[in-house]
Amino acid sequence: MIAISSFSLLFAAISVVSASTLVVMMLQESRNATRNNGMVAFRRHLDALSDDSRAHVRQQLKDHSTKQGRR
Amino acid sequence: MARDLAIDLGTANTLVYMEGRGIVINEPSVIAVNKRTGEVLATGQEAWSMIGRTPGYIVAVRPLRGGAITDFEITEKMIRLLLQRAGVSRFSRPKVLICVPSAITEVERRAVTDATRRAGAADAQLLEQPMAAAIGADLPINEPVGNLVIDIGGGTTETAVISLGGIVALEAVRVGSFDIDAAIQSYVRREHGLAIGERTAEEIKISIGSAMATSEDRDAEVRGRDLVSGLPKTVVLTSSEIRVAIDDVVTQMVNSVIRCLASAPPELSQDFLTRGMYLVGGGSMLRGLARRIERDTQVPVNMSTEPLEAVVLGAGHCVENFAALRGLFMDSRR
Repeated sequence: MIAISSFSLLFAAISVVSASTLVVMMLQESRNATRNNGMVAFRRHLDALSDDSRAHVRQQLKDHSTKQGRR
Repeated sequence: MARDLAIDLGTANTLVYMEGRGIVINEPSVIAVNKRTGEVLATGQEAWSMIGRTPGYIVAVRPLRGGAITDFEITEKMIRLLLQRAGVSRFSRPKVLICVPSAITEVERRAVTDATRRAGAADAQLLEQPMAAAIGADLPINEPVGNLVIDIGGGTTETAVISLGGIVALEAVRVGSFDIDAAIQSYVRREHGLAIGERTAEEIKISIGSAMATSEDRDAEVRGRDLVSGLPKTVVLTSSEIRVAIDDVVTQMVNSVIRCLASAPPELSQDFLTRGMYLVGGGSMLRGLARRIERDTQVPVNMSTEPLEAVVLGAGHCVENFAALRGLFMDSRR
């Protein structure tokens, strides 16, 4: 009886330690992610305004010009 | 699933861009309402043709003046109709991005977003018109160079310096092409004793108006009501007369561009000399305006190929890249 309860205690202790380690690791990871987030978001922002990304805008401008020309 | 929308809610024209489809609505920002019942009778082109010609119980009005909402209820009705026409229903509520003048106040900002949300949008975000215009005019705004864009609308003139995807300097005045129409109306009243409506004034501006002398200078016959006798009368106006009439308004526009140039960082100022400035917006189509700005600022001016559509096309691009360009929206910067 005593042996079983000490085993349970040991397993409980191991679970608590691993769970807290996991939480600490996840927090650390999210902190790193936030640190890089600004830069990543800025790059994404500039990419979204790049020439390649705006090809469809250029196409629509061209289509409108053609339509106006036809009128 | 609802397709997100971009709306250029201009003082003169309203354009709607639908995600994945392009521009789906392009019409005057006018609404005709029955005052007795509150019922909307017409919007857009049809309502525009009613301006100044309606019986007492019908009002055909522009719900925006100087880029700001002057009649909240009517604007909400207009946005609701626009969203309905774009296929918005109780079960498909899109995110809506609305282009507004940069000089908009906090109260006006809230009025626009509230009107849009109440009209059925799941989310309403605002974007400054010059930023949208620069994106839509295909300027290289993602590069570390100065891009100067001048957006002349019906009620506002906005000048912005844009570099590395953001606004560096901004100048906005509540003066636009409707002020040119008003100046023509008051000139004709003062000098010829003739009352004319805003539509006639606009037609005069389009046919013979110019900011500088051009080779196309000509005369136009104008019909209106004689202020003394009250009878219909015709007078002949010349291009040079109209230039005098609108000079004050044009000078205010040019001065706002000069103020923006003066507030730009010197590193970017040198870019304007080599790359020039870009004119967009319906007001930029006034004959001789580009040359007048060029003369007064000594900086070359380029005309946008599609001055009327640039703002909504830019906003449309933001809708297509909603997450990546969220940083440009006015709410996110508060």
